[in-house]
Amino acid sequence: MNRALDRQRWLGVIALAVAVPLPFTGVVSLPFLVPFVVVAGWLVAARKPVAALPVWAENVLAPLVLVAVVVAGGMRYGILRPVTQLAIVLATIRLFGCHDEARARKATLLLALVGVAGIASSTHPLLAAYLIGLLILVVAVVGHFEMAKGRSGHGRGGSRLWPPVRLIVGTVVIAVLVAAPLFVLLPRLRSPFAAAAFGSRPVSGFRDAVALHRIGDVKLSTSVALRVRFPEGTSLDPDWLRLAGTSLQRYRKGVWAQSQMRREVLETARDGSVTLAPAPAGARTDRAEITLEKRSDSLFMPLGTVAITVPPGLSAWRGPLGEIRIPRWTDTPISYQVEFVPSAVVAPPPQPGDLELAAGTESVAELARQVAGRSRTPVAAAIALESYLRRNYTYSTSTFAPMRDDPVNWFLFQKGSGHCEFFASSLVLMLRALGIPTRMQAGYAGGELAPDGEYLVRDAEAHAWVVAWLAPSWNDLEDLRRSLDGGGPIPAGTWRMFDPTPAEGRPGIGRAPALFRVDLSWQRIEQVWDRWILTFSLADQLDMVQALVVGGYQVVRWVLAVGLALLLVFVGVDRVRALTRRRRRKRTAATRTASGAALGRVTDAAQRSGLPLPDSPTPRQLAASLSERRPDIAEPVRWLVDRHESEAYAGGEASARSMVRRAARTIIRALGRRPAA
Amino acid sequence: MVASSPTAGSYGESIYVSRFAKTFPGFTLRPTRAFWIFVSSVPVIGVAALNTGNNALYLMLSLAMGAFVASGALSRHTLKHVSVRLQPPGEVFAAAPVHLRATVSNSSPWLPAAGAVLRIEPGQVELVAPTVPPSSSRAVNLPVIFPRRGRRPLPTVRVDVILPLGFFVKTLRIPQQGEALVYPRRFPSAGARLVSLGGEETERSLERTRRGGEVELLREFHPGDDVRDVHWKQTARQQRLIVMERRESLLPERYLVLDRQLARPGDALQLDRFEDLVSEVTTALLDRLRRGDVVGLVLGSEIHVPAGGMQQVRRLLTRLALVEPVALGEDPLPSSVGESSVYRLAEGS
Repeated sequence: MNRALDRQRWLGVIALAVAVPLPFTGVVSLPFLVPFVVVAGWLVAARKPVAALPVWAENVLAPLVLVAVVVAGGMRYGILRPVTQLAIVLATIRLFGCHDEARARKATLLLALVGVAGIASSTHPLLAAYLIGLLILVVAVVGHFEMAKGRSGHGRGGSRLWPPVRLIVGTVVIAVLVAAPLFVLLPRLRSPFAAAAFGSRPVSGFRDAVALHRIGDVKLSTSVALRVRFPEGTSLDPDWLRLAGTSLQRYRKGVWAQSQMRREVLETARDGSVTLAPAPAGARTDRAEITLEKRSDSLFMPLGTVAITVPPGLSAWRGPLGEIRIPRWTDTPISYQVEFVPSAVVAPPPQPGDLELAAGTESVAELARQVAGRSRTPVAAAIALESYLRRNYTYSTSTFAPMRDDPVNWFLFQKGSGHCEFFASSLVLMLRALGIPTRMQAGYAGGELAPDGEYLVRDAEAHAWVVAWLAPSWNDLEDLRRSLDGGGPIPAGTWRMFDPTPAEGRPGIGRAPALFRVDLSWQRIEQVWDRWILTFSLADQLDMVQALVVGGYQVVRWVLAVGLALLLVFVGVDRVRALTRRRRRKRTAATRTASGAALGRVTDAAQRSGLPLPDSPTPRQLAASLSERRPDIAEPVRWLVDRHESEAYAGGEASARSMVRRAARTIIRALGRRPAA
Repeated sequence: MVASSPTAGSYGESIYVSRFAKTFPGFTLRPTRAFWIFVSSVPVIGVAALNTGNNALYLMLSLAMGAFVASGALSRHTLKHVSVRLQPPGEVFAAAPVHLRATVSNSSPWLPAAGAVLRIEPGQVELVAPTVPPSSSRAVNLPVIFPRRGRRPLPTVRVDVILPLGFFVKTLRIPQQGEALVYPRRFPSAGARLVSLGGEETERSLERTRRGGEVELLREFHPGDDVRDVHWKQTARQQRLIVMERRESLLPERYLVLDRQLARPGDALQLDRFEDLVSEVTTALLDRLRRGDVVGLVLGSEIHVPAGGMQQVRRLLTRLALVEPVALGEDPLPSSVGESSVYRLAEGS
């Protein structure tokens, strides 16, 4: 193939590859993207080199490009978008005539810029696959051109113009293996940031923590927060699949504060169970197994929970409003079982804080009285207020109250739209204004029913609602108020749940998709991606360093302990061996006679003098051999052997050491001399 | 024949090359344009990643650096496992292109050797070797020119590897064992004209006196044929020139003589002239032996009796490949060799 045409074609392919993530990131708007893709496709399909645009046309286009970028938003959405749009238009123009090497080089530079912008704007887990695919393409194209260069330059060479698959695979594998630790080690000095479409919308799955004050992010997250299973089935109304994590009582300056007072450590039975409240008389209870998948500072429970069984060793305590709190850094998943009364609310009795109204909520109280009108019972008034909020206010996740205004006032009297926290907060304040003890609860409502009967509760199911203590009559509420003020008995009444959020904002029960397992696996990948790629930060790096240090310390400690133990064992064994050796030596020395020692020396001397002796000769063999070879020393040798045998085996008296020594010396000296001829 | 390539370069031209060669003995490397682009763009991406905290940029940066390492490791691996062995051909003449058979082996158990460029030093030829699968070998022919006759060592082969990503040209020199016997340079055969040693009688005149013999075949006239061999009757009959080819009953025995004696053996001009003479004798020898003549060779006092056939060709070419000049009087020519005709190259031929 013509080399210029080849270059044009493969540059077109690279341009198309670069364009892949752009439609999903929003970093380039479609009017800029479409011409780019069309030109790239044309280059790939063309059978002849495409000519460059005339210079005058490029000159005319230059100001038009700038105008187009400005019209498309300019710097309104940050710097990345206009730069990328400018680059993609310039790349589109430069792609014409890219069969020419110089133009191709400039176009490649622009394509690289567009590619980097596209990658920087991507947050999807498929970005990893895309990068690997891009690397494969680059390796293949570089190999193709290098091999073609070698062939065309000299008219001969290999017939294959593509690098072998193994080379490509090897390159990618090694690159990924090297890239993984590099990604972890490269310093993160800024907080993790992912550019999103148009630079202002939150990114799906980007936020890790459940934070109700930023519910907009949470509502877009599909991370699984909880798994709930009813092992014995349940008669629970789908609308009542609500798992409360926090009950909130105190409202000050637009913020719901959690009470940190009166913590009560959970006293669990041997099996880990704790009875939280007595079940109402005659009420049927169900059991649920709940797994907390995400780190949290509380255990989420159904509203009618009367008992909980926590895993052994879990540090947990009970808050003043009945919630079960755990340390936030507790490792997940945490599995626990609860026993609950379906479709009922079980909570500690009303407290003075349940009637507190913050300053500046007079207008809210006035509105509550207007809406409740002449309701004959507290229940009717609560239902009226719930309906009023559902009907007259709209649900929105992108509502953020101004800092100076009270959010509830702003929601009720100005904005008219908000998320569940606004609705729940408004209802709490309105009910309290009517003298009804009320709390706001935050947790999860609804879930996704999997084929195996398990409910998956995701971040998006985060919700807030209201529980109110309702007495049969207004007089009972007056009695309650007096009791709370004076400490008298609390009149009869029950807690009831109200959800003032309109239907579109109330999570419900959904069915899992057909490819549930695939979907679930993909969600796990997304979670890992979000947690360990997109939001990987300096804190994570420091955690890793700390873990490494701690792990290293543990290893060193373990190695030292093992080394010390081995050393002790070694020393002990050595001492034992030394003791054994010494005893044996003593025993040997005790049984050894002076004549025996002298015979040993004589044997050594005979061997040194070159006399042929058997290996390890017995005293008699020694005597026989020496007598035969050296008759001149036969007599002292025989005497020495006789003495030795007498002393060692016949219980004879020990010979005088001087005599033995003299005999041995005579023999050894004689052995040192030549024998007499 | 000698081709320059963008990847070719003189060695030791840069400090980093020699430093690298010292640090990693066995091969040299030279950065390419892709390397410089990479080196200049990676810090930009790095600063962008650091400044924005964008982990996608970190991911791309890591992968780019990983690809750089992978490229270096794999090209090094390829170079480490590639070996080249040259096999000289049977007949090599100086200053004439010859194809050396190069066997490229790849001892890597898993990675094919792809895109390796073979060069014969010093800078004679460049050739992209075919992809060699793991643990196997492939043969290619490398066109080479040996400039001088004699026993010449086989040239060093240079292997350049640039794949997979072309950040560096990594080069390995593979010296070759063995040598090639290079025969003297050949001239166009028309350039050699012989005269008798005994007088001014030319070969042509000698041929004339010996014309005759039986007619072996009739064939069409080719330019250069003697007009006296035209068979006029057949020419008139067939209306085209027909010549007779005769076979002499007894082939004449001839000697070619090369005087090794030079007045000044150290003089470059005389040495060049001697080399030319050797080439001319070689040319004449081949010309006649391949025509079927019986030819002998006189090299100073050394006499090779006339004979024909390929064995004689190899014997005489080998001798001519190795002949060296001597000073005057060291190796005089004989005045005559038996009864055979002895010729020398005529002046100006």
